[in-house]
Amino acid sequence: MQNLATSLKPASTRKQYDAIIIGSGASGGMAAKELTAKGFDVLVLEAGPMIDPLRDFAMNRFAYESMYRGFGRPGWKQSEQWMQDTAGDFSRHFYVNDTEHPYTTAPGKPFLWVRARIVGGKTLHWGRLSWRFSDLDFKAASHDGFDVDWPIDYREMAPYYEKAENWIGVSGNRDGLWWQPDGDYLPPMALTCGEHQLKSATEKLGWKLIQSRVAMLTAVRNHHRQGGRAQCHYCGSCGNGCTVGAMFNSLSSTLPAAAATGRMTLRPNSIVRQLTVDPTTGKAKGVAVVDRVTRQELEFRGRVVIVAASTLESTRLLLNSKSRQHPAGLGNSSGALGHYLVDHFGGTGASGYLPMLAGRDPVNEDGKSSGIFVPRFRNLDDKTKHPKFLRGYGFEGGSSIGSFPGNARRTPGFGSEFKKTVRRWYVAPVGLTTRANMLSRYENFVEIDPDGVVDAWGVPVLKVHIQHSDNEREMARDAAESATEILRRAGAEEISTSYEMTAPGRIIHELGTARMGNDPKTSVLNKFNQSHDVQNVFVTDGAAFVGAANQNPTLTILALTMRACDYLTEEIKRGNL
Amino acid sequence: MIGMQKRTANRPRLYTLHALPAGKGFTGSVTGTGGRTVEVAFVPTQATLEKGGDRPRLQLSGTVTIQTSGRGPRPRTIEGVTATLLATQGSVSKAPDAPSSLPEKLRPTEAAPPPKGLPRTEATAEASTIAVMYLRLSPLPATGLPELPYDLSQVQLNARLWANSSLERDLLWLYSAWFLAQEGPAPNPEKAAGYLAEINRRLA
Repeated sequence: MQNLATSLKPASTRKQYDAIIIGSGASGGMAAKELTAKGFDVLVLEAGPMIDPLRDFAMNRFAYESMYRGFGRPGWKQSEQWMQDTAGDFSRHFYVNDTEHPYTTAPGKPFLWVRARIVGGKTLHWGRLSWRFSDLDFKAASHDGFDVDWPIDYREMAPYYEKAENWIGVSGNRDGLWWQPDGDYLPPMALTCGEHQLKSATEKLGWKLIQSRVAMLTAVRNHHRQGGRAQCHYCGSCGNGCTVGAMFNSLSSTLPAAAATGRMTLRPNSIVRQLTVDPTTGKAKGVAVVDRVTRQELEFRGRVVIVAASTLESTRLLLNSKSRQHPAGLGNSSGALGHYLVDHFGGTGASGYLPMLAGRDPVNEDGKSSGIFVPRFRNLDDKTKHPKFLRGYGFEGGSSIGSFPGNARRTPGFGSEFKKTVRRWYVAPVGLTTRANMLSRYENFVEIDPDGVVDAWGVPVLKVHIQHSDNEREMARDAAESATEILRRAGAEEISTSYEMTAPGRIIHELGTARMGNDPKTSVLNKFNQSHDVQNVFVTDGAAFVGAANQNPTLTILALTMRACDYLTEEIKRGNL
Repeated sequence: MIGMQKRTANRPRLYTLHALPAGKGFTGSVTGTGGRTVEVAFVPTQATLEKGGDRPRLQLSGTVTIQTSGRGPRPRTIEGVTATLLATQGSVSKAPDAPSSLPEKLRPTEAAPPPKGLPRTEATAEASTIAVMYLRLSPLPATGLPELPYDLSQVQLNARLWANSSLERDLLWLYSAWFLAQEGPAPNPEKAAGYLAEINRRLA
């Protein structure tokens, strides 16, 4: 895998770049690849440090190689990274240090904000699940009357989904479900025995269970090979960094492609304080940056600015970019900037053991990085309409032996009987956990903290106001009961049902706050991710979402980014930008 | 690095100081002159409500002690420092048990069953606690602190709340309960005053 650090060239404050891209994660990396391929001279600004895959990735590293057996030095998480939920002993450097990155919340309404300020962003450790949205999602409001539709539909998005899937490589099946559209996939990862059991049980209830679609190379196409990416060898270290490029991340895929054109300048350690505005035109002229390490203040100029810093960082940036022409934040004439924040919720579900698998010899099932998915089965049509909630949820889950016998923590007893019990059930786990839609509501929002809290560089932070509604709670109850019923039908024993919903943010699918729409009075962006108010500013990450659906958002973010890049290129050719 | 910059008339501003709980107070560290680590400890002895401004705010009063690692100036203590609460970050961790010595009227009541028997969201409402208190320190006398070559006029103390002892556990619970009673969606001034008194019992 290419070490991008060796190809860095200095960024210039004297030239005007064709495009400045803020962020190097999924959207930023894709924007860099697309625009450099179209001949743009781009500057990618990443707030975090550079990364050396050979030094910083822990692929094929086992827990016993760590002094603390994979758990990290006692107390490290509570003292330094208490909100970085998925950070582990081998991956903690991919995540921000919460000591330097404050944010505030409303009383009694916590928000768990997982962030990655590092070249590659959250693509270094994301879950890789890659689902398309359908018109059930893009036109959800037409379906059930709540909120507004997206200003785009599936027909417009389909070609970009295909382009994105082809570029990044997604393994999966074509399942023929109209509300979970198929793509062009690499071979799927096989189901385990337990997952076949779950599939039979789910189908007995009239629902579907399909193989997860994951951005993993189960086969290698020419452009993957040319880009130095290799096929997955099922080591199971995806969250600790993949040095062979089998999992899609910016570092292995989009950024090297952009760098290879010679037209990308990548500047790490560049914290953007705000977008700068031409006082005569109100258009963006560039960005003001503080260097993370030296604290030097710099300004860079760009003809177009693409904000792809990840949902809430992007919105924070726009809110902090106040000026005489934009007193409420850049592009916020509608007052919608910051509002309609959502995150999927989880936590509810069921787990147990499959007795038909108990006591078998352990096999290496921990390398398979995909599980199963039960697509939404509620509120698809009149027959599946639920009386108590709108929209729907799906289940992620599976039945795989992990490298650590986590069931030991839940097994009572001690001594040899305890060990026998742990060994018997260790090989037979099964579980389903919810991934559920949260309704987009104006009153769930972020603002710049009104009490003046700042981060370590003096940049004002966000205050988050978000809570679930009864729609989510009714959905959660139904999901817990449905998951339990699936496990019961699968013959599972010792079924444990969870009714507690995860705090907003824990699923790390925060979306919205700079929503797109056709009406500049009620939305921040147009259907091409372009600011209604400031036409040379685009916001291409999850901030643009109108609604959350229940599927993972990254594939849609990638597709929207590609589409926005096509549009802005045409607008420049037409002389409109 | 900031610690390596020469001292000039225009000192770089120290925006934030992250501090971990240490008994009654909080301890953090900063890179000081010559790249040395300078430990900064804030120990409050009293908690009051500062009136004025947009709303009454919690104000902790106490001392700041500064100590350089290795060979350096003697530790010095600055009296009369206040830390005024700006805002908080809610925790997603499980709340600790209430202090065992709480007066009856301040004990948490048994949580009412959720409306309509619906699932709850973790760590919210009465089950919520604070992860960090963001406090503004009163200006520190930078000219008398050569080991800290910064503008210390508006340091934001990021006071992490996390229990390593029974005292820290009690204070975590009490600060959180006070905040919810004072600024939550259903303010209870009487309970807030009671929690403030309990905090002061432990700071004294």
